[in-house]
Amino acid sequence: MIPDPATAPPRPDLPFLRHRAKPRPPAPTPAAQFVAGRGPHPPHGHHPAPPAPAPSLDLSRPAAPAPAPAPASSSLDLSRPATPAVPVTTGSLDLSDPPAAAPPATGRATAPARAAAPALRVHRDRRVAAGQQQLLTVTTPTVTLTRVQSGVGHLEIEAVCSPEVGDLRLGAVYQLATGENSTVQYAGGERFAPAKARRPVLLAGRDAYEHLSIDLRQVRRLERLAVYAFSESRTPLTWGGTLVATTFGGARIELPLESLYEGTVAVLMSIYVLDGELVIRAEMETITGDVREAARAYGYDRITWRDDRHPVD
Amino acid sequence: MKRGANVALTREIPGLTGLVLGMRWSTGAERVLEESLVFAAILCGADGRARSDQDFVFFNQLSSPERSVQQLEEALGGDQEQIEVDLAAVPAAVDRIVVVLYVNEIPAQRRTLGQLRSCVIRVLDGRDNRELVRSEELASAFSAETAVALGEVYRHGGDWKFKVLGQGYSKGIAGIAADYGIPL
Repeated sequence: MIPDPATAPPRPDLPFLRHRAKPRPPAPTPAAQFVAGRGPHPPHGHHPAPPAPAPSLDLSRPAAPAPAPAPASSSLDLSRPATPAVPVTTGSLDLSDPPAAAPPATGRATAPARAAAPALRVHRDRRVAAGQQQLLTVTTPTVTLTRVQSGVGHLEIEAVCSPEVGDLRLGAVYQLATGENSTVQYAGGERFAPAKARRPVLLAGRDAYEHLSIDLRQVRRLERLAVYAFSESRTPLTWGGTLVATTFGGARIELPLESLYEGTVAVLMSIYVLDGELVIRAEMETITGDVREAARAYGYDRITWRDDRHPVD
Repeated sequence: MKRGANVALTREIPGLTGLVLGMRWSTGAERVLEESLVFAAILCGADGRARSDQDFVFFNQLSSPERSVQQLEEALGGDQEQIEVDLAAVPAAVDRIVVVLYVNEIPAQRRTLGQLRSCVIRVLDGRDNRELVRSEELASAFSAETAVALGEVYRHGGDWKFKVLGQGYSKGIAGIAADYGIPL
């Protein structure tokens, strides 16, 4: 199914000069803006941005050459101090780029140029290969899936918890590329996201344990989500067990839950779609309040609520 | 062209610099199948296997790193999906480019390629979108398959050739990934 060009989600990660397709304006996604530290910050105490170094996120511009040193005949001699002199247009450097935009610090704030940039890896983050296991911990809270892992098959997220934990139930609050916010949860909530979709992006279910699955054919419709757990009876949970995310290729990303503070609701994991790659991050934060407060704490503030646990749908 | 048939593209069409691989399918009224289908290309080395995950070009990775193989977000003309190949830009280490179609599987909604009414791969001249060759109707041979290797563009001597494969896989993209070395 080819998306309508007028409504198709933007792809700021592939700013290719096309000759057979219609041009579309570059538009960084809010999630990318947020993680790069350029967007609004969610109103809570710590920093949920994955620790990907900000400079490595802006690869749309080739490693900016310094302004052309003025009269130097060998314009490639970079050992010279980059004196911001008036460039002389005799050098072999491409001067079509205004010199004012050359310093990378300011270049990051400008709109990404649609220049021919090498298709580089955006994140220098931990990866996980098929069949491998990666543990999310306080010191290594993130794993990034490749674009293939993020776009083939489905991603399964399962709360492997024994009954001793209590009546733990799983859910997720999500934001689609259209800006739509809501929640998906098996227990007493909406099982599909978007609700009433013929082919949902997110699906909540229960077999041996509660689980969520993401249809990765539609990953481009998804912007971000946060996986939460809550006690159905609102009695404090004795946190334990493990949240396991399994890729289509069988890689397992595991998040032990023992270290959570006592409470009835906790945000366990967040997933951001960054340039087509899923960044999976441990959050592990017990929330005072209920699902509504958890959603608000993570910036999903465009939801209207029927009560403290269920959105108006 | 029947399955297994091949054509010497650059020898018969001098000056051919780029190809468009166009995919035409019809799912009838089966909308879930329509929305689950993925058209993709795999850049394979001399051993017939992808060199890394970046050699898999599909909707979530629209180009190979050197941009020799690119998928269009909107196909032009009557195809459902199109992938462009810039023959001169294909790295020397890449021996063949295999195009595949698969059903993205999710647990609750099982669909197969046997439900396809029609499935045809076409090769167009990248300069003027003129159709060079097209495969025979491949859909009639499908039953429980969930993926198919449709055809391949490959080096032969100094030329590029195209061959219709029509090789079905009952294990879907996982089967193709195992055969062609795509790290999932």
